[in-house]
Amino acid sequence: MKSFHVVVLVVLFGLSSCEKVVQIPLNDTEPQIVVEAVGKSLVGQSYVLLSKTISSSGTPSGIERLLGAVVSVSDNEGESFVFEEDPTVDGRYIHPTFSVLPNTSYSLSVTYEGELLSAESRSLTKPQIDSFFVFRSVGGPGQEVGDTSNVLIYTVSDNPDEKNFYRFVLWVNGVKENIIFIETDDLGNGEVYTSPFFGISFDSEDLVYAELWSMNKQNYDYFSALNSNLNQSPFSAAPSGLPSNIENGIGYFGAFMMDTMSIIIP
Amino acid sequence: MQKLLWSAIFIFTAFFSFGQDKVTLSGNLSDADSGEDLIGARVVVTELPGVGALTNDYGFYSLTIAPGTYTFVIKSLGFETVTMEMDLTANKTFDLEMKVEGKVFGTVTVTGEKLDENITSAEMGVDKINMKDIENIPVLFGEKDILKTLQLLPGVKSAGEGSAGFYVRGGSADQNLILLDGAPVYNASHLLGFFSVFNSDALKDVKLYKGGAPAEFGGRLSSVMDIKMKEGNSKRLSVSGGIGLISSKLTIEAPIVKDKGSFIVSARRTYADIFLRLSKDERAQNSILYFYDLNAKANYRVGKKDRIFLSGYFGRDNFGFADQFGFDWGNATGTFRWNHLYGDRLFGNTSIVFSNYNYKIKFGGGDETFQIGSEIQDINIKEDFDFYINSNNTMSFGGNIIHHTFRPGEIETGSDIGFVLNDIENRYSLESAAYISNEQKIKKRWKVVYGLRYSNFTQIGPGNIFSYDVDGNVNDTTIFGDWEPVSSYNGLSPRLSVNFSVDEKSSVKASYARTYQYIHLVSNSTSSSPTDIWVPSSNNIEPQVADQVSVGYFRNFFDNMLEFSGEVYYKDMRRVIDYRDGAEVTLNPTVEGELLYGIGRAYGIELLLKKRRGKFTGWVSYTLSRSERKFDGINEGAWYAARQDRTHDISLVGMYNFTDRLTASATWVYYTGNAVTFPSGKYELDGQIVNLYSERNGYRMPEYHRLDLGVTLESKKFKTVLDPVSGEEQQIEKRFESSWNFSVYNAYGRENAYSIDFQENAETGQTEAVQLALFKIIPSITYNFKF
Repeated sequence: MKSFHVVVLVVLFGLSSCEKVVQIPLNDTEPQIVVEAVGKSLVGQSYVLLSKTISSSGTPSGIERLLGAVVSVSDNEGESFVFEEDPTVDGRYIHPTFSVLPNTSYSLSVTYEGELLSAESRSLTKPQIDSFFVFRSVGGPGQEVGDTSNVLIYTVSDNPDEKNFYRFVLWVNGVKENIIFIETDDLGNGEVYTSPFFGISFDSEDLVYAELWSMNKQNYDYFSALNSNLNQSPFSAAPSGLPSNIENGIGYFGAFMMDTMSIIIP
Repeated sequence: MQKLLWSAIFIFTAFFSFGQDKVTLSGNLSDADSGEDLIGARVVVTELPGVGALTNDYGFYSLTIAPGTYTFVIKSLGFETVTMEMDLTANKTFDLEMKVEGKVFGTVTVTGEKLDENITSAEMGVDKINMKDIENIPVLFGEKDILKTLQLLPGVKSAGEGSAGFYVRGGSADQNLILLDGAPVYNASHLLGFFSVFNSDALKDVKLYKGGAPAEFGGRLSSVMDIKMKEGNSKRLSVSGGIGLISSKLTIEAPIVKDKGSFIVSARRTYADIFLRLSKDERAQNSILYFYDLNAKANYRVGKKDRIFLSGYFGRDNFGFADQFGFDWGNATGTFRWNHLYGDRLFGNTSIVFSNYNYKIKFGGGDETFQIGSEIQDINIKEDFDFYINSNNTMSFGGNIIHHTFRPGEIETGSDIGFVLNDIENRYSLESAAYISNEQKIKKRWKVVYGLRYSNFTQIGPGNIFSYDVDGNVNDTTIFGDWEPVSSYNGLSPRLSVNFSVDEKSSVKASYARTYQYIHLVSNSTSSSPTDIWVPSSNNIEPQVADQVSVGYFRNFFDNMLEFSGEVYYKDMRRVIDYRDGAEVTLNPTVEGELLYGIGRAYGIELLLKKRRGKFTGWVSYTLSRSERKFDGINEGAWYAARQDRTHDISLVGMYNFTDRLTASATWVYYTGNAVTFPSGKYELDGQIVNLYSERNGYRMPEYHRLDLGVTLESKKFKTVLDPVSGEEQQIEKRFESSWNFSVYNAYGRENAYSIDFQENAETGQTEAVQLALFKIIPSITYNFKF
């Protein structure tokens, strides 16, 4: 929808509109601990990344990753996993055997310099990617006539027995794609969903690896709000504080059931 | 409850009607040139100071006084005053066609408003726009627009750069009831809000009630905009039109049967897409982008006591790209009205009103299509009466019932799409109301309007009705059958306005009104969007309620040439709606679970100084105001500024008549930037940099100001001919009139911020603010004609 509005604005007012950098004094808040805790159903692939917020005038390279924290995840069966620092990535904590099981509740506990942060998340059942296929489109909105682009289309079978929320995460030739692809089963519980990955075009021979995460509403709402904050336009919702499930910090903790698929674009 | 109210009405009317030895003079006042009814024209009795009658919206007046011989003075601003002596011994009907005043001398401002009505009327918090002013005031692309001109009055604020959307006294845009011939217009803007759906050539009268609306109106919290279409010239065929930079329009009016009935048809279409064809950019060549409007109205007098009207509006926006993508949206309204005179003192109006707003988005072509649609549709039956009890009391009463249909999401797929998606279920409701109101003169100095409106809103089946837990998750579903009531709300709205005339030149007024709003616009975006949808009150959504009090001082100077008003208001709002952070509002069947409920307050002072006559006319308007909201889940439950909170809002409007052919005009507006949410830091998440937002609406957009200039040059109004008998030169009025309008929007090229985005500077990595300004200097030219 957003792109439609932008096209209309450009068509209508392209000649007269102008963009420029302006000075807006922005307030600073006290640095907060940011938790990115991704529990995956693939063994050894879960991680917890800890960092701190910085002021708007700061640079991304100045973001502090938090070392020396005590990180553990426990499930509702009483089993506990202590995550250790990843020697290759600062501030990242991993566990060699941990994996998320379906319909299980998990608790995250992080202690950093005497501060305790915690979060809860419950997993759903395993999602299912049926297929990927590539559609070669010619022309189209925002394209020159005659331009071809490869659109990747996915088919997913929805579980009729639960309310499902999904996120696709894509890696193209090993590089993570920033676009957040999220979806619910609002338009047809238990149906087979077919949809393109909007906003991304692939070259021939691109290697695309996709993870489909199934999650609860709390995690979905977080990604939905994050997506809206990252894509601000005059026609989108006003940005807001993200609905974090981290007690005493910001960020998210999710216990995601996954399916994966790869394709080489023909 | 309704029965009780109706009984009360009849007892009350009976009480006023009995045992009075009086006679009634009644009739219709209209414009001799076009046959259009005159609204608000005045009939006064010279022998009885302070006694008189005003014509209603259909030009009808009724005056009941003791039998005798009187001198009646009939006046309406811009028309020649008629004085006549009449022996009134029995009830009498007297219709009059009034001649446009001083027509031979040129410049005349024609308006139905009397010169000192601002002082004498009990109405307050009302903005009126003179249709002639609209022609002269410069606007974006030269496209005259009542909604934009109204934004120049105190208490009415523009929703943004170039926008036809507006906020009234701190309320949100969906809290304005916009009525076109009594039919609600659910989305009053074209092209994402840059143009309103109202083609000013087809309009006759516009009134905006900012508070203390008559009891006849209800259903929205903040304001009522009552727009009336022209009836059409009942004297002769008349054609007018205009050719502008982005649109052209044509209006045809003619009698059906002379002096008995007439019609008007007015059409407008934009042609920005024609320029797109000329573009070298192939993307632009393949784009479709236009809107059109069609207004039509007919009326016919069936005998002396009955008159029928049929009016309609149809407008649509179309946007598309080749045959791959299509998006169109628009309103359709229809009104059937029947005026009937039950005797000389009771005027009745029966209306059947239809209104529909829908949008459709289509992807793909042929069998590979996927279409999403949404719709709201109303059918309304309404009965209104004006009862002219005596020269001191005029009573209005009536009632209505509306059947609402909400279709939040209809999905159609072509045969080759290979999957089926379910529609989002329709919702139905009934909204009904009954009201009674009396305007009473007490002694010479007091005028009081008091009324009561009772309304009911009932959500009805069929449907699967959801209930939600505190986090917005569905926890129960109940199935309801056809017409089965699901939930019901009642509202009693007292209305009171008091006018105390201090002297002939000044008055003090006060008003109080309670309003209920049962349907709510689900939009979480900052600008108006065609995909904004309306949701009804339900088992989960309670109606919004507001109480507003206002006090004002009105004074005229120099024989009504200068008009001053100052009003102070306070509005208390309850159960106003906002959305959970990250809420999804389109195509969401459980959208009710995404809503949050809070309270609001708005207060302010509005000042207006207006010069009404002379070569130089115009006004200065200033509003100082606050509008705040409080929600449990937002800003830790503290009060915060609403988006439309603007501390200062100033408008200057000036028009100067150099000659009767040349008019220049200028407007300047200034307002404090909207309250917005900007980042207060940033962090790393999911491999990218994310802005940290902490306080809702804690920042301000830069202040907005703009100067617009316009010049209107009219053709010569007279031609010189030789009298065939005397051979003398004579000035004869020309049938064909034309004018050129030149205007410049944003004359000093101020780059006003339309939006501000935050991004990382590519070199330093620091967050920087990027401002988008839509319009620099926009010149335009329009040619208008009439014959």
